[in-house]
Amino acid sequence: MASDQVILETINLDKSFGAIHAVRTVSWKVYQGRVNALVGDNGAGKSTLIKLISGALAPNAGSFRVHGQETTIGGPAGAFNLGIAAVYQDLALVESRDVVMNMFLGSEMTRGVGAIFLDHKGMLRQAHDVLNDIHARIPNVREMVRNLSGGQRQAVAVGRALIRGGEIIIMDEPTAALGVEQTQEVLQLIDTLRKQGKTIILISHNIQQVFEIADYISVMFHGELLGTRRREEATEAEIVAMIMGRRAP
Amino acid sequence: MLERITQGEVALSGRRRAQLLFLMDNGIYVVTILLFVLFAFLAPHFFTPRNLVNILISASLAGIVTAGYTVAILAGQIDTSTQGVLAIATVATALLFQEAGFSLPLTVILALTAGIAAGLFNGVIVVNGKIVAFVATLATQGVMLAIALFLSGGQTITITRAGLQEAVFVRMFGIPSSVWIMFFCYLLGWIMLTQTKLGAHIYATGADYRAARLSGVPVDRVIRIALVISALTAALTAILVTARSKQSALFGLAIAGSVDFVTALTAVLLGGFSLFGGVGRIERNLVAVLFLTILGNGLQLMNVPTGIVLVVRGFALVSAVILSVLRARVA
Amino acid sequence: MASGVPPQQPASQLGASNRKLASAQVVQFLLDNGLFIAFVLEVALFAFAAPNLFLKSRTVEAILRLSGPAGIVLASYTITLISGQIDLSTAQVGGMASLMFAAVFQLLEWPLGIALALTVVLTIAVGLLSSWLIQQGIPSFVSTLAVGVVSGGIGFLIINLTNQPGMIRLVRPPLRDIANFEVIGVPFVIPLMFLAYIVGWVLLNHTKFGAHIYALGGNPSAAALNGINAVRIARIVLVTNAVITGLAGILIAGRQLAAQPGVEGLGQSLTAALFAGVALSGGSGKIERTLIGLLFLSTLTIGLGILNVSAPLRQLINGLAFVFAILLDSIRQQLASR
Repeated sequence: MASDQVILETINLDKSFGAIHAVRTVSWKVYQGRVNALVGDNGAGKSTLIKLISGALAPNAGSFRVHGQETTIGGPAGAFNLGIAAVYQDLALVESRDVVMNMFLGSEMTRGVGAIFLDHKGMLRQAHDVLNDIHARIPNVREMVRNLSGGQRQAVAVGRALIRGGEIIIMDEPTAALGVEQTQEVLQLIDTLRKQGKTIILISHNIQQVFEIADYISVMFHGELLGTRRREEATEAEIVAMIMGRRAP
Repeated sequence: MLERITQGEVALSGRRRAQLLFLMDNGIYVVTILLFVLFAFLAPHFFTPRNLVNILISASLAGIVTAGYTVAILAGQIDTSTQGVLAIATVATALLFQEAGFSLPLTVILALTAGIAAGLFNGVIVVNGKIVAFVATLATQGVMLAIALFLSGGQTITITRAGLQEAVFVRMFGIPSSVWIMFFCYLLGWIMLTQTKLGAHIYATGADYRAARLSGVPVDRVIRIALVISALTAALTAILVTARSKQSALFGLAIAGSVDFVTALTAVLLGGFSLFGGVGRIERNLVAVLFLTILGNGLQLMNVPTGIVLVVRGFALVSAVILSVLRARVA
Repeated sequence: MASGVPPQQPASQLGASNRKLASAQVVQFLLDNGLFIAFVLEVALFAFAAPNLFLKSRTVEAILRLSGPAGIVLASYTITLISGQIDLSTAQVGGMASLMFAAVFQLLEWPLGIALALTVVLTIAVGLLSSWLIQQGIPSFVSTLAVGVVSGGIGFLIINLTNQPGMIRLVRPPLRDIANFEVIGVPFVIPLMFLAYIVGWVLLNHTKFGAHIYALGGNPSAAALNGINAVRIARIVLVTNAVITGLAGILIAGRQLAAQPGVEGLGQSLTAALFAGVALSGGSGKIERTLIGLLFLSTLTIGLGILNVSAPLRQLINGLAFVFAILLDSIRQQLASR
């Protein structure tokens, strides 16, 4: 693990909403092909930080380095181009549309002259392939999303991130609303993604879960990044202490 | 797209924000006075006692509708059926008093009952049908207009029998009764909204339906009551309009200066209410109503074509809507 | 899975839940296919009530003629509705456009092309105004309502300025011929309507733009997070709808030989679309079904006319149809969210 490479780096990132200083000069390293967990109490700034990384918010100050190159994100579309794809906590799915159309939402495949017409067959095939790759159990990809279980929805949202060329996949509390069995499904999904070489940023409240799946654990407190630990070098007690705001030596 | 309201990039300092809000909240007073002065110079016969009384009567009629309308808006219900209720109640008044020869009190009671029935009908469709009020009342309005048309046979009913206008439009201390009735409605409305449990429930339902329901507010009943109040004031207005003009009014077409839901909606929004319910103060509506009445009256006296009056009315609604959204963004 | 004997459910309860399921399926089936059944029943009913008058090719043609311009509007209206926008300005925009056209073409006697171009420019402006208001965060039904009031006013204004008595007669030759132009014995608006539907169907089901329209109507914030430009789509959809409504208004005026402030028959788009299962809240609906919804309403109008039903009663029936349509939509939403 000593040879882990940094794929994404934030440099002195700062974001305020009026009087609320949500993210304070955060410099964070995200390691390639690893599960990078981001933990912290409610309001610690985790969600704001990942929204900055996924382009849903623009920072007040600071910059990014992706693959060693300094860059700006510039909106969700810009993030996709950099290989960053977020799976939002509410998953951003359109309930009244089927699995395939949701997976290609905003990046629909087209064919024919001038790329006017949709390539339904192509999308169907690729959706199948992607879902198979991540071992998702969705019997019918023409099913409307509103009829899917929580775990299946997560798979659809992750599938969309992969289809958009996501190398760095941000998952915001993916198991927060799920039962035991579906939680295991999602953890397996994360493991599968890691084995395929994807970088995962995982936001979670659940310390045990983080220790189960993450390679790196970073802790935020009151908008600041207190530090990053390797899983095998950290103890639960230490992480919990950091979450409570006790800066480790 | 609603995110644009909540996330609107309005970075104002505290003082600028306070100034802007003050302007939005009280600008209507200034504009109304300016308009009054403007027409006093420009429009012939505007600044005459006769016309001023006319304005007062028109404003009071529009004001009564707006009072009930405000209650509906506060409960989060945009009621578009006002024109339908007006039509039913005006036809009922004329038919019962003129054709059936009913006594005045009985006519008034029955016409108001027709209004209550219309409001209950709205309530059933909105609450039991689980349909957004705006759309539901748009649909019920069609039914009500058709019923009015059906009852009247599409004819204007002229009232030749004496007693209606004389009884309804008496002057007390030199001021027409409709003005007193309007003040009474606003007083009642103010007491209900600020001093009663129902009022608190209306504000709560409009501000956050889900939270209100979860905290035990009988939201369905509140919505029903709000819609009935809205329809009831419309029926009351219809009786007054019918008495004043001595004939059943035709509410099919939007005529300038008439009382209808466009006027009421504009007045409510100019008065600082949110389209989405829950906020607003009822007294500012009075000024907004006065403003709209003066606008219609002045333009009419200047012989401005109906078309222009209608366009002005439309833009008044447009600017009222924009104002209310801007307010939400700044506040 | 945990093994073991599942707890015995009382037979009666099982039966009740089965019955409940079955009735839910029946309701779902009726919601999906009820329109077709209702349409067939309606035709059968009129055919039975007035066999000599109703079962005529002339009646069929009358129904289709009535549906023609309204159908062209309905195609674009459905797309607007699916994108999540309710346009309430249709009747007034159609009226305003026909009056504008009539004033320039009939009264000023300018060439057809210029009259059309001016009308299109006016309707584009109206569509832009609606979409600008929506962009400010005002819900579409309020925005378009306000724009409808403005458009109605502009229509009246044109009548005022030209000193016409409530309408402008429209009898100058080329237009009358165009409005009544026939292709192999069929008024050309009918094939034009079918063409509009084909274009609309392809657009919605086989283009990226169509996929974005469904996504935007279904979940606007999800669409935005996935890089779909909501503002642009709303603008295109509303402007297109205004322009098509305006052109249909001209066609209707051309057939009636007069332009009027409000256009009868254009206001039924919402009812027809809701009948056909387009969701009021946007995001779902099939465009090909709305055609049946429209035919249902047109048949109702013509059929009631043949049966000599009085105008107020016809209006009442139309009003109740609208109430029924929104109730249908509500039931559909509740079933879907279960």
